[in-house]
Amino acid sequence: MPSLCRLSTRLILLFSAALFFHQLDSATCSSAHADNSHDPVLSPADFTNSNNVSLALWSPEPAVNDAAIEGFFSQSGHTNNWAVLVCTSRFWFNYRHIANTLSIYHTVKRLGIPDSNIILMLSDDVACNARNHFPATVYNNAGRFLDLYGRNIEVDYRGYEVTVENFIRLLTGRHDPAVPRSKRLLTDDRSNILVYMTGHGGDEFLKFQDAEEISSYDIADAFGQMHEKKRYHELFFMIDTCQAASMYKQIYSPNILAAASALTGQNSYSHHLDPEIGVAVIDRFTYYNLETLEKLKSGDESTLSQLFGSYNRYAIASTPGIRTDLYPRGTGAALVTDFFGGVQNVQLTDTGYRLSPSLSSSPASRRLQLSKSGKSSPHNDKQLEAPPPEHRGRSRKSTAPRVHKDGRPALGPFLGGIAVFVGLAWVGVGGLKGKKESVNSGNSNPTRATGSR
Amino acid sequence: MVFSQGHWWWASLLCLVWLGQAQAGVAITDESYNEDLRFTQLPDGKVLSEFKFIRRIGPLALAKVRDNHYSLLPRSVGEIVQTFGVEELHLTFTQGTWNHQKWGYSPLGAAAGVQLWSWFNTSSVDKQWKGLTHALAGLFCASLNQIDQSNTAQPLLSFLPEGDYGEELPQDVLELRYGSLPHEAVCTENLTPWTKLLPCQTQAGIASLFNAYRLFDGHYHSMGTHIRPIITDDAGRGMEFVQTLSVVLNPLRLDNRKDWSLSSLFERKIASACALASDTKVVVTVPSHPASTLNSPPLSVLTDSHERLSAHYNLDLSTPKDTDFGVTWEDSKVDHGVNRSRWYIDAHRYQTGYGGERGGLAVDLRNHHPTADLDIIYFEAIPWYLKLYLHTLRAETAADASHEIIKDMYYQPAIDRGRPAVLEMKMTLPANSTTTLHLEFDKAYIKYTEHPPDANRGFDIGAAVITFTAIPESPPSPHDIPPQVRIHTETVLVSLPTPDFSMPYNVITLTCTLMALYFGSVFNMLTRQYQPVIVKG
Repeated sequence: MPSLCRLSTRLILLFSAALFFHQLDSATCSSAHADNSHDPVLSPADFTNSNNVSLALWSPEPAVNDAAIEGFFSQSGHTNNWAVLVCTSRFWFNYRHIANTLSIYHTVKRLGIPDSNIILMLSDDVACNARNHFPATVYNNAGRFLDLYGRNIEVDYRGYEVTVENFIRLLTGRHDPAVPRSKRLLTDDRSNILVYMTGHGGDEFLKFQDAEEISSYDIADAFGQMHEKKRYHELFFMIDTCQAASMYKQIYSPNILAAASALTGQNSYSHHLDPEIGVAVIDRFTYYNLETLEKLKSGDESTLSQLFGSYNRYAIASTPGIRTDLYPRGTGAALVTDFFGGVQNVQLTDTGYRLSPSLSSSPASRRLQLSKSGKSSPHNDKQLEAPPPEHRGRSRKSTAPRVHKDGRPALGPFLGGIAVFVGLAWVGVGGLKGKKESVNSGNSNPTRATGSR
Repeated sequence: MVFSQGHWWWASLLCLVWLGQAQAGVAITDESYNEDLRFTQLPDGKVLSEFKFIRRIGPLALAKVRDNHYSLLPRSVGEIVQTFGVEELHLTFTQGTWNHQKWGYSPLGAAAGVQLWSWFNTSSVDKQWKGLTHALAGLFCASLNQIDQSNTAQPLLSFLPEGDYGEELPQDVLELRYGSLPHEAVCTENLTPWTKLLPCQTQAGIASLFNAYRLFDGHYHSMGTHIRPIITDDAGRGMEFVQTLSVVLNPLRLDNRKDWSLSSLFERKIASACALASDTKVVVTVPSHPASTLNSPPLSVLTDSHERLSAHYNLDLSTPKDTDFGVTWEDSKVDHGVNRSRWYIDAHRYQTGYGGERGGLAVDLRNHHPTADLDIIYFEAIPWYLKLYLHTLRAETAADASHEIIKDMYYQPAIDRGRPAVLEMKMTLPANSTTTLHLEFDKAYIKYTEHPPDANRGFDIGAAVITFTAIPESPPSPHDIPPQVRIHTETVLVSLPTPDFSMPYNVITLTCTLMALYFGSVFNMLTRQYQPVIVKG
């Protein structure tokens, strides 16, 4: 038993050391995060020929690499953007709900979220509906300036597939294994997600296709599960329906911001009608959001508080509800493009990326060689499969810019692997020693209690 | 930006050129891509446009595909074929019904909605079929994943393998699955991913005519994806990947004239030939009278036996940009008559009976041939919620039928929520007659959660498929009518007994009221003390 104690002590020591390194690591991140207007710290010797960000992105030094990524991809801690846009209404006379959703689709696509990161759910097909006087189009304005359907649209869930079950499955990521990637929300803890819903609703419910309802508790619990599963970094929940504010009431998970078209007890109204299409083409709340959103360009610095400040409850004919208590960053600090825009930062460099001899013989490449020749230790193999657990919380997945991922020397995991290996060896030796020395070290360890509990 | 190291760019450019040549070399030997576009003006003035994009992948290239090296075949398609052991795949997205009587037969004619049939060369076909439908649903933005076991059929005769399998007897090894979604909407979101599979997308080649606003404004449009094995010269097994699109547009809608051109039909012109296509053919076929003028001079003009003129064009990179084709007519008269001299068989399916409890299906199968009896294969997959009574099946004909009409029959009864009823029959239609099939069914009272959100609209029953292998007096040009013709009937909309969906709420309200009344009165009685009140007085 005492040897076990000693073993656990050593393990604890080891992990605390790892944690310390990790914190050091994140400390450098946050410092770089603070002054992200400057280029991040540059790499040492290997990268002396250039001082730009893209090389720092490739740096084998984890600190430099982290810092570069932090400033390069985003300024608010997210590295990728996703949008879930849901129209829950079927039937032709709900044309405006589809137009609402497609307007937001158009905006987020224009601001840089690619189709692969947009999950579009449309309950009905109005574009090719026989009632549509203008086939294959959806307009959100009686002036018909802009065809929202356009030439390049990908609807992920449509018709009867737009159900409460599918929506919750999408959010929580619990799918049948056969479900294709385009129908999954492949987010991580660095994803900012915009969830936009529109349809007919009431106090704490939203109807799906006039057949079933989702309640505010369902939504809150789905978001709660997403938080537990580290499926988002920040989430903006926007809903345009009657009594919309009742839908975000029950949400309890952190880093969620919500905006709704009307307070509980208020109706939400449509904006105007196109006499040739014959139905209302857009709702007021979405219309006035678009007034702001349509003017934005990618990389715009407008904040969400500016967007919320533009709401005029007389024009909207209902009082928009905004919930910020779960959102510590504050709407004044959050940009509109943090949710409506894609993280897309491409830096062109006029100097080539040269594989210097020192880099090509770096431990990372050696590791690859090792693993290829099959002589690698089991620990190294493990490292190849998955990053060490303390790094998992910081998995970086970029959406748009594909900087050659394979080419990036992954030194961090390797060093981690070595550390773990050495540490385990040390622990093992310690354990053996402990067995040998054994017995008289009877003093119980505080950690043992927790271990045995 | 100034590039200080210019030679880098030259080097990379040279490298690209060299790579391009290497690619082209591969394409010449083992892979080929052709485009084929046919315009046919039908007697009623409508213009049928048939686009074909044909990719033939030879055995060498196919071996590379197995190593995940793709050049002409789109990776998304190649991966699906490999993952799910697909030998042959036929998927069509269609809106509108092909009018056999007026327009004749088209090899690109398909059933309304989505139709998918596939031959598998794998074990555990049901699992692969499920995976295939889900993968295609993701690829083409459609609800194909709703083709589950309950609407999957395995016809025996109607959908034979179309590929070239060499010596093998494919049906012993391969397994077929067939499914259809008659109510599936087809719109731009299906066209978008489909055109993204084309080598030149819609930037060049005949696909530059694709204008969604016009394509989806037609009387009929069908978008097909077909994969089948082929045997190439070097005796290896290759693959043919064909994308087809056919659309029927009506020039008379615009200014009541039969004249048409690409810019009037599609509001587009052919930008240029697709550089990857080794051959781009355009054929314009019109009735030979009244007299007409072709808008651009063709390479050659042929007259076929059915009094039609075919003008042939070839497009290549030297063709001037923005090529337009079209026909101008001296006389804009159109012929709405039905031509029975070539298309002998047509079919019409409808519902009989009334009420919510039972109903029936009837199919009129007409053989217009004056003398010959014609053999057909009739296939129908009926969802389980129409409970067929096979003993009610009868074939009636006005002709003096000395022989049996139904020669052979395969019937698979439905299993509730498990599989559809499948009816496949070999029939002989007597000459110059109408044969009517009758079949009765009970309408199932399905669970209230099984109704779609728009429950009162009804349920669509997929088209029946009529296949006939041989046609007497086959026309001289083999392209006009393929050896095996498949025509499809209308889909049928059946309304099932719809429950009162608000009934549970009514029950809850009523029960609660009763409970409240009961509880209130009992509680009142139990807690109240009854005693005489003495009024003094």
